[in-house]
Amino acid sequence: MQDFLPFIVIGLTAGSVYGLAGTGLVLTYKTSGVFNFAYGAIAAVAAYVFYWLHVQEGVSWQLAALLCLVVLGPVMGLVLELLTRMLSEVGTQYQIVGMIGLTLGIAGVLTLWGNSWSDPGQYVQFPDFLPTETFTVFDVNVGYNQLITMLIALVSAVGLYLFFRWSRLGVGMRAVVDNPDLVNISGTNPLRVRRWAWVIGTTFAAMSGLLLGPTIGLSVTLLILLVVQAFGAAAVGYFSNLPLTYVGGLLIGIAAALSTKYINDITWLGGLPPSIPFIVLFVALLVTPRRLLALRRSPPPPPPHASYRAPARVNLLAAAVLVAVLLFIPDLVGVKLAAWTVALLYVILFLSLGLLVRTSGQVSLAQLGLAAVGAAAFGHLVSDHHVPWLPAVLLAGLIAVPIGAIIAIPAIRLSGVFLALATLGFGIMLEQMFYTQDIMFGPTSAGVHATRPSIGQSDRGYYYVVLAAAVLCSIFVVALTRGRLGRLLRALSDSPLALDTQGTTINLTRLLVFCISAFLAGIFGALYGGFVGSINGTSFPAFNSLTILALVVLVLGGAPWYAITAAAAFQLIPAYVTATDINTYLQILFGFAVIGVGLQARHPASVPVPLQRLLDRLGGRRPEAPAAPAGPVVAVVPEPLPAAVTAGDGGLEIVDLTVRYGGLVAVDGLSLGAPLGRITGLIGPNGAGKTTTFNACSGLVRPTRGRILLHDHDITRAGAAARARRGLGRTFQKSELWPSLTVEENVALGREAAMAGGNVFHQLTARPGDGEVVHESVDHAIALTGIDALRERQAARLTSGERRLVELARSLAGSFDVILLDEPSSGLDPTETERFGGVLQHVVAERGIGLLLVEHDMALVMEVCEHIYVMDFGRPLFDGSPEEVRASELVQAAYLGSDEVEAVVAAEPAGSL
Amino acid sequence: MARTKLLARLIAPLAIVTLSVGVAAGAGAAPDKAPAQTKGTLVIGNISNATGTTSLPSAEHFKVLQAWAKDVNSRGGINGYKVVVKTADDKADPAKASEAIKKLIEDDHAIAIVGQYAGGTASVWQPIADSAGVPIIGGGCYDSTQNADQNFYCVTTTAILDGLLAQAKLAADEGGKKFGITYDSSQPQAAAAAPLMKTASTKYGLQFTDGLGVSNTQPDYTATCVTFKQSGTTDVGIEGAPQLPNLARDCSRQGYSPKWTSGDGQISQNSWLKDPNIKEAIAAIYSFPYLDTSIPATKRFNSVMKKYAPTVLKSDQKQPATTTWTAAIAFEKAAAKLTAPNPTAADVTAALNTFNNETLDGLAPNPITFTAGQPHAHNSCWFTMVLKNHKLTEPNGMKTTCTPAT
Repeated sequence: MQDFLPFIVIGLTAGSVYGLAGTGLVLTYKTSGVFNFAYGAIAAVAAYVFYWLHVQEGVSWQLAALLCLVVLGPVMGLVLELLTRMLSEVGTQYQIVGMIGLTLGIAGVLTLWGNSWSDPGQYVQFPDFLPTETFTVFDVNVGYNQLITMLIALVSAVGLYLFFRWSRLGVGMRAVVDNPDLVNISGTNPLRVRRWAWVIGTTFAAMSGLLLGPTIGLSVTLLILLVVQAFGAAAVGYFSNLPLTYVGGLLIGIAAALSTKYINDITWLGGLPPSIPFIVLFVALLVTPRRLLALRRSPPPPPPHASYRAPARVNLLAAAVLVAVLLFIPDLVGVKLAAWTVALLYVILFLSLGLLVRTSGQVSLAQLGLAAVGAAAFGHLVSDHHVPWLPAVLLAGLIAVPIGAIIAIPAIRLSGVFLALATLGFGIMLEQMFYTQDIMFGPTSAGVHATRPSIGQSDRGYYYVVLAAAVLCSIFVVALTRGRLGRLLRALSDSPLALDTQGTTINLTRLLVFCISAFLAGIFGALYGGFVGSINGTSFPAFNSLTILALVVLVLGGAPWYAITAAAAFQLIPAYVTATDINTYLQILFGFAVIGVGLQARHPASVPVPLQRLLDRLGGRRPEAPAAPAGPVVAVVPEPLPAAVTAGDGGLEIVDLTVRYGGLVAVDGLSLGAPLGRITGLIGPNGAGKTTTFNACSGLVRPTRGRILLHDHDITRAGAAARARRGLGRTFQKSELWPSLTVEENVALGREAAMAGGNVFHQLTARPGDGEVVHESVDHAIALTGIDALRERQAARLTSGERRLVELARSLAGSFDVILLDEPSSGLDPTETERFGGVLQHVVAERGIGLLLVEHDMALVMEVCEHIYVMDFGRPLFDGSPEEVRASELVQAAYLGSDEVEAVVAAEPAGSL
Repeated sequence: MARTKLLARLIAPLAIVTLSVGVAAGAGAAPDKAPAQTKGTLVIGNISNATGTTSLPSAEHFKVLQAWAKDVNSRGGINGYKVVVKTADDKADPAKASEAIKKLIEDDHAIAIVGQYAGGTASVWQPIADSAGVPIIGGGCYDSTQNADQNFYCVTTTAILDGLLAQAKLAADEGGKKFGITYDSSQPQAAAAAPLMKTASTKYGLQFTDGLGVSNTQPDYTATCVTFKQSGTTDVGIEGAPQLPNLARDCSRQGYSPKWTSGDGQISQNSWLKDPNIKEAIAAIYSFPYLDTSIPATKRFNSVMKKYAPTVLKSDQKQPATTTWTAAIAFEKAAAKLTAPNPTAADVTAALNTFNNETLDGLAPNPITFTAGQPHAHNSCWFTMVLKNHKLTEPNGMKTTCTPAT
């Protein structure tokens, strides 16, 4: 015990540092809804300014600290508030990458500034301005400076907790994240509250910088990495609970201290103590209930922007020219051939990351870790097991796949910032704990030996090998993105919800893309190993994944052009610009440029229009027809498709459905039937529970009680995609199209999503005959809804009325026999609405399917529905024919508001109507 | 007040440079009047990680070779040949390393690579030098693959297992009883040290206590310090350069001040020298101590540095500089045997292979013999340096200690 207790004390003091940084992180996240990846960089700015004032310019530490906390912190807060407000409009991914860009930019600037005081890499002592005298607790001497840090962290955690709970400004700060409009209505200016939140958050970061500086010295890199370790503490407090975050910091500190003491005889666990914060981060994100990790602010949809894609012929021609030029590179670039070889290698890495980030809208900060796995596997295969070169390269890619699958676990549970954090934690953990293990590169700098193929022994020969690999990987990725999986991934990026409810098992899609990405990263690692000869972990520093991610977001174009551009920027610029600090300058450039890209995300740079026309002409593409007015609905009544419904199917039946959200009962004892061959209405005032009912039917909300039957099969426990595959389709109150796809692609996926389903091979590629079925369904649905003129238009460019029609067409193209339509006529004018009703009746008559319609346009409901259910306050109020509903005083009262309704609702036993 | 300090900061370096040049000029450096050079030019190359990820080499490193060349040329060159030094910074980037070595060999026609400090990228550039037949003379001898290469002529201590043995023996010789090490767990080589050091310390009668993995990003090392303190560790080896000032601070707070032991030249870092918490450190150094002026060869080093590269001796490179200098002297010895009007790399290799118990005027840690077609023996002797009361000393001067060759 005497040996043990000191380590608890040590853990508490060391853990307070994590607690302090973690509290600041949570504070910013809680008050802004933006996870401040740049927190460490901001803390470093304060530390550097303090050092400059106090050490370089001789200003007293008190005045220097005051200037940092009272002037610098608030100014940075106001700047960041403005920046994040602008980034908040463009989606989570740009927010994350924007903050990472800020980190890179600040780190670069501070590095250059620091180099003006000392040699690069030299240790610079940060002044310990707090008292360093000590007192003893359980044989451990604790410094008063440590005690002050502990107390500040403790007081901050508790004080801020009370502040948020009890003070008006604190409550306002929380509320402004959840609902700024509501805050505004209540008479508080949300902008003012948000500015205060950022000022407090960055001042706290500045204070952290001053308090943490003495612990590790003046180094922007170390300060950033120290704060990254505090992410683990914040994860324990699920990024929201300040006292728990503080406790999490202490637990990490204690675990690290105890592991230092008790595992030092186990050599292979030598990397455990410093890895504990990252292990905690990864594990906490895996096991914390999802509801606790709900995003503080709902991510806005991806920016709906029109993108230009050059005609296939132009792409092919450009690719052929590029490859032809690359064939002559060895004769043109002399000693810079190695830089070109590495640039081609990086094309593969950027393609692997692009599949995740650009195509499927997910973030990974562990890509270099996957490359390291591939490189190590390749080295062992060729050196230890004498596997021939080509099989070894492919096996190296395959060995990286299970690791990619592990990273996909958080991707299945989490998204956005939490996925980024989990992958960052995993990457650093891999580096700290496993790079130096025998299973990877081993503990010596010699690492593992990697070979080249017999035709690539010379640098020139290996260049051609790498060129061939880069071309093959490019073709693979282009084929993938243009094929079924590519469509699924783009849909996943735009609206995973819509893809799920159309019948694709999206978790499988996520798993698949992470595995393919890992495979390519593994191939990159293996080929990089062959270039270097003997490889160790220093070739794959986990933190460089941040720069790689920033670059892949920064560059323009589709696959493979973005990867080529990124690789050229990453490798060829430093090869040809020989300034001493070129890498730092590039880091600053990439960092700040990626923020610019984020700010411009709603109006991204694209190919200039004259050039687009030229390329279109070269590619034989006809100019797009001018925007036609919305075509007549049911312009052409197509030949009917074979009936989707077989005799004996029972349609949808809801039995005694109850849905509760905590204490709120959203739906209470609802029973209804939507049989085949009928349009059934479901109406009620706002908040009656109609959309919740739809969500429960389609598997997006778990019922508290009751059953959902489809064709007499109980689907209550089935997932959304499985229900869709059984024949249940839906549209959404707020349109859920895939804006980056064309209208035709949107409608086609209505059918194809269920074909892809939950089968790996079917998600990867279409079966024979699938294309014909999809084509026929698309033509039919488009003709029915009269949107033929919109076929080639990108969904992002549609009007709200057009979106409604496309969403309907997508449902009609699917093999659904019951479709839930959630306010489908909103955005349509009266004439369109009337025609729309005609389409619904036509479809039901033609196919014999069942429709359940939620609609506020009573004229439409009364016109098309044969039977109508009325809900109010989550409970069934009335049901009958349109005439009966129209005549019901109860229903009229429900819409106009009446005490009688509430009395009836309260008196009726649930589900009795 | 602040402005006065600023002015002082600007003036001080100028004054130091002026003073140093003056002192060097009066300290017996080579005469400025050079005899005419009668033969051709010897181009040598140096490839180093000067601005990459590691901190020990830096741009200062190149100045050592250039200063040596100026000194040699001021004396009329080597055996009548003028020396030209071409340097290349590989930034620890394999692609840059490949480009750099090709440029040195193909464009600059370097006939030897002298004093390299680019072990991290050696697997890329060394095969290129090998296939071109350009010998690599000296520089850091840290990599086992590199040392096994017969085209690599290590002229300082072979710092693989020999380095660890040297640390353990030095600790034992200096009165240590219990030995432990702390290492950067993410750095290859450092991570390998724990089990090896256990064997090495036992070999010299030390009791091995703990091998503790740390990270440079740790905010606190108290757990490491208390673990050593509890096990009564008298000497703590530093592997993989963790931030010793931070570690020493946390240990000092616990009233624990072991002897910090290390290999090679990091003991001379200014941050160690000034740090109030680093009370005592000892190092087995792999090239001659920069402080030494006891023999003409070390006097020459000091005077040339003061004359041509005065900042080197004030930088963190002051001790690693002697590794580079020793490599330059090895080349000088080989070049002195050249006679052809335009010597080639093969001529230099042939000259190197005539080294037989070569002492490099006393700078080599042990007599060196190279024989064509034979593996090169490890150099398992080393010098000693001690840091005490913020002052570096060389207790054994130019006398080396040897551990059995491995």
